[in-house]
Amino acid sequence: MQKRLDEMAYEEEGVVAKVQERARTRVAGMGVRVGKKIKMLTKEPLKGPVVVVVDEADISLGVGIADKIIVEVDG
Amino acid sequence: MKILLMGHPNVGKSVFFNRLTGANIIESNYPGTTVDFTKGYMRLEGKDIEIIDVPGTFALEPKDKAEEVAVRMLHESKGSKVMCVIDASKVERGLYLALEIIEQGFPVVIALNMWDVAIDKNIDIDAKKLEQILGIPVVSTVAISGEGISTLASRLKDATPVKVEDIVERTEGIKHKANTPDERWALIEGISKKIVTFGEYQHTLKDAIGDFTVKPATGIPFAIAVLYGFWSIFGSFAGFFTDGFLVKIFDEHWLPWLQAVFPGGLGNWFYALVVDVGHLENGVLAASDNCFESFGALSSGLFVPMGVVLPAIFIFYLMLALLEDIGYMPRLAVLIDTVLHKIGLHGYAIVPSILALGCNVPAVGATRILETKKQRFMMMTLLAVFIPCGAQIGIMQDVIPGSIGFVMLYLIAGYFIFGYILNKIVPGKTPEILMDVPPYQRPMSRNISRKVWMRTSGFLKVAVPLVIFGSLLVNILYLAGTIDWLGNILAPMFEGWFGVPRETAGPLVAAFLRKDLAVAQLSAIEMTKYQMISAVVLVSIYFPCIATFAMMLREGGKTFLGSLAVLLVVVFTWGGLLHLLWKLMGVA
Amino acid sequence: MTKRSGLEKNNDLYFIYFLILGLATLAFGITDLIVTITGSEYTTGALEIPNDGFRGGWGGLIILFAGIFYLSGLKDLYEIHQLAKVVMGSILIWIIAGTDIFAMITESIPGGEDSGWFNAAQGFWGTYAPPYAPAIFLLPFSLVVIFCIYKYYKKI
Repeated sequence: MQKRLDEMAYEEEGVVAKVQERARTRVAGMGVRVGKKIKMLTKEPLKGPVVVVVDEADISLGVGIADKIIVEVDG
Repeated sequence: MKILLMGHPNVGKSVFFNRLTGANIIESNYPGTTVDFTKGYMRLEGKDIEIIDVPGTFALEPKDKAEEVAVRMLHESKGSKVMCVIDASKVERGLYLALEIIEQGFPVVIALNMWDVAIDKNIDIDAKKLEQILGIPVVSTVAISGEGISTLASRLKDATPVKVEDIVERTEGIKHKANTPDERWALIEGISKKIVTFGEYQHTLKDAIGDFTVKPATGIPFAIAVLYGFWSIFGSFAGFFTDGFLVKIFDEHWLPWLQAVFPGGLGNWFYALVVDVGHLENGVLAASDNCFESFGALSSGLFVPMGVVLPAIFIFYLMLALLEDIGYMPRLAVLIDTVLHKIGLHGYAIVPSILALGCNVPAVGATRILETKKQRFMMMTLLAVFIPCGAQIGIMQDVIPGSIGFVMLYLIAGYFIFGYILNKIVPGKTPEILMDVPPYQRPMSRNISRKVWMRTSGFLKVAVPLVIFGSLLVNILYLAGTIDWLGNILAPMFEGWFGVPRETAGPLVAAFLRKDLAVAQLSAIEMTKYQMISAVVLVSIYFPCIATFAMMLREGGKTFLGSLAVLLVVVFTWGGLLHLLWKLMGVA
Repeated sequence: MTKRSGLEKNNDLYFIYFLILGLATLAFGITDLIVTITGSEYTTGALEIPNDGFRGGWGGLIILFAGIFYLSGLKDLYEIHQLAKVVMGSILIWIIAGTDIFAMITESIPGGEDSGWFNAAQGFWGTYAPPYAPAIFLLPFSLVVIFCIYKYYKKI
């Protein structure tokens, strides 16, 4: 099942399936790329930023970037 | 030949720099910006070679002003060699930046730094093989202990430009056509498969606390406690120096000495400007006995920045640098981004906001960490208007000790309401937060002392001379009768609109340039508690001082006029609203 | 996955210790807040509940949080994330107690108005005399987590 990164639940894991063109260059340097395992660490309330784990590194993304990343999750 | 030291933020780049260069380093401003970088010289094969500590960047597509400078520095340094520092425990991410630099045709050496951390995390990297594949020197290092640094320096001579196609060929089995992010990553994954094995890694206590301090349910209570500690230590430390010692030094030694040795004496206009205007006691002009009431440029003008503000900003910057170095600030930024993003700012706006509680001058400078012109303009304006600086807080403690909490809440409410409005009307973009949340690390005293010194010296060099100049200017305007004249013209507005007594008009006009003057004069005027709060709120909303004016002009250029316009609107509405509130409560 | 924790599984001693400490901390936090909100004064023997908005209100809230951290982390302490919560509870207490002690130190040294540069010996020592705020009493008990961290990393 695919969902947007900002829709992932706490502690949910998945694999990046697609990064929209507009966000691709910006997140590439931080290690977010297609085929990479990604884990949702936390989401701040009131549509605040999300914090995800990629390659054991914590990265924080605003919802406006997170919603441009599609993740394949189990179930 | 020059050497550029590049890498992600928080990979120990400055520790590297310090170890390579020794004592002789120069802090500079990148031309046309306020981004600082450091430059030094390292001795290599009998020659002194210039080495530049480039601001940390994740990729060569800049996200903010500091990264922009990093990229510009690289492009201006054709013919230089690049030392690329990579966090060995996050080697893939680091290779992305290294690959981008290699693509640009620079000779690169790679330092796989934090090698010890990688070992702790059971990450096994074959550095030799990586060197083979990339065709450039790769050295494993632990900058904190100095391990591998001399090897790295000696391998600089082996660095030559390499072609990406050759790397692709040596990696084998990878198709790579263009230098796009996806292709770059495909190449890195290919390399990574050959050289890295990731072992099982168990979270440490540091990691667990790192996670909990960014999760809202546990992170927000923790942040509340950190800010409490920040504030409490600030109060104790500043009180210790200012009330404990500096007031005594200034009042009992400096002022009497000035009064004794300075030519002229009471009543002389020049003496009044520089030392003491004196005050009327039973119709006779008497000498002041403290630096708050003497108003001279060398008495009050020196006492306020050095005696009151300096201890306050020193401890502020020390604690902020400590929190930054430990790695707490990014977490606070993520937590607070939720609300700040709603008003068009960025989580990192918390740094200038906290700095401003010390002194607005370095805070205005710190707005550079925000990405767009719009955000920088908004931040500068909001902090100058709504965040009281050390001197303004000092006034509050003097005049309305019991109501500081209320005034602060009123100002914070203004910060958000006007932030919201500005976000709607100011054109421009408000980019999303995108940042690394680094693991906690042991603070390095050298990093901290460097940061504290840079910020404090900014205050000493820019703010102090301007504050003294401002005192002089206000004194001249007073002696020339300009302030009284303006006060008389504006008195009906102060009385009618803001609901404060007409005698406050003069001090409030003067407070535009000098806060300390306003305190002493306001506390001498008969007022109700509520009028006093109104007067203090007005003093707080004004730009803090002439030094802030100058700094905003320098940083913001033309947008300064916009800030000024916002200020006038805020003073008028936010000050008037308070009067309305008192009326509704039936106390005015 | 095998736990490397040196803290034994289901150790009742730690559980009971942090249960009592957590409840005591929670109670102090609530008392702080009540005393502050009602504006009353409360001093018995060596204990003084602060009642100003800063130390009693803001500080009391933090003591309350510390209690919650203890109580939420005390189960399965051998697990690092649970231990981390208990450690954070202690860190909150260290912040409050530490700043209280720092304030005492900075108050004790200067001579104050109309006297010498430095405080007289009697005034100096007097600053450190009781009554103390609750955080100071919680401080020694909160230090036990250091032992827990030590135990955790001491592999069996």
